[in-house]
Amino acid sequence: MIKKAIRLFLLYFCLALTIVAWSTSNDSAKLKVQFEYQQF
Amino acid sequence: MKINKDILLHVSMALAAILVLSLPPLISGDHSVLKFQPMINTMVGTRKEQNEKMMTISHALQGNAIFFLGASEVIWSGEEPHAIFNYFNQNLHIPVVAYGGVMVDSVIQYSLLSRFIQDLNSKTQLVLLLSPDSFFRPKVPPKIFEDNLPAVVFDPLLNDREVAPVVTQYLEMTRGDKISHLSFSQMQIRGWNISDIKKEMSWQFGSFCDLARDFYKEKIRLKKAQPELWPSPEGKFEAVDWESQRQQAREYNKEHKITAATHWMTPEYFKAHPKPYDWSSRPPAEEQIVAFKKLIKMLHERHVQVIAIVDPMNPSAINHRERYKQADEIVKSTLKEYQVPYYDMYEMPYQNGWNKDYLHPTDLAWVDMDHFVYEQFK
Repeated sequence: MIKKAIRLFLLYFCLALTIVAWSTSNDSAKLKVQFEYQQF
Repeated sequence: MKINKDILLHVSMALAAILVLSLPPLISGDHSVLKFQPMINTMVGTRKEQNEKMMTISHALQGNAIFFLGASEVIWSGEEPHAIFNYFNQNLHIPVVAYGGVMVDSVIQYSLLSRFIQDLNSKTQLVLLLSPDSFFRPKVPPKIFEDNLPAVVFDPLLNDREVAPVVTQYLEMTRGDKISHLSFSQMQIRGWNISDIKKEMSWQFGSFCDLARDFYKEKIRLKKAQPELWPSPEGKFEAVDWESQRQQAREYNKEHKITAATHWMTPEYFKAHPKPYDWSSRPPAEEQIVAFKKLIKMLHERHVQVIAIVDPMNPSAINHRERYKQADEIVKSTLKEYQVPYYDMYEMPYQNGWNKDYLHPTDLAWVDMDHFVYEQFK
């Protein structure tokens, strides 16, 4: 039972680690503000 | 009801794994240490990064550094040796913290300083760099709003009677525009929308992942720690040969091909904009003027040592420079009313090589700005 629990823990830990490694808040839809800069 | 033991084991182990992974970075996020950051260009970041930026700005405003508040002039001058945050920190050893990102205007400057109102006092040394075009723009794209006024800056402002109407109106003006994320308190004002909620939740999750990743990278030293210590205030205003600095800056311009052949602009800008463009024929935006006046009044009431500079404008890149005159007169009279020293590079005789494009300062213009700041605070 403990062996199984440890295995599951490691599995979910690796899964969470992968998600954390691949997710980011950097939005790809950055506005091209330098071009809008002149439009006033 | 009998719960399947296997399912219970899976759920509890999944929760345990998530807890083990997330608790250390979450705890560390609340225990930030004071770091010296000479240039800050956005208030966005992970919780830890935001805390560090807040601490840096707060410490600087308490009188531990000259605080330079500008706009894109700051972020686009990182390489210029005489940009104030480079020259003062590295050559004069006088601590300067500069804040500035694209399109930072008077409303953002007023909001940002209002957020740190408790730190403003007679020891605060503040330089305001005004972008002439910002006075003609009543609103900014939501991305700019998000960059400079995230929840950590915005939310406390709602309790301030003076600044709350300004930021609320400013946020409401972005209605209908495409956003990447807004906090829930901002949505309460701007209006609820399922897609905005989804974006915010996804952003919050991404931000947490950034926090956790940075934490573990730092632990296993994948991410090299940056210099952190606040410089000791050993720097004195020793004599500077400004003419020699100007000569160095002219050489720097020459190296970067900012010459008469490109009408004193960078070759890249000149190639993209060979003809000058017309300055806006609209009058200055009321919202910006109101915010600017409130800002100067607030600084005066807090006895802040404040000085102001306005960018030079390249006559080879702009037609109808005189259209800025109205805004300049308002700025001048407001600053005069509160006895704020003003370095008006718009009104001064134009020096070739001051701008790398239509507005942004070159190293040569930075020398003149540095000289003014030096004389005012020495």
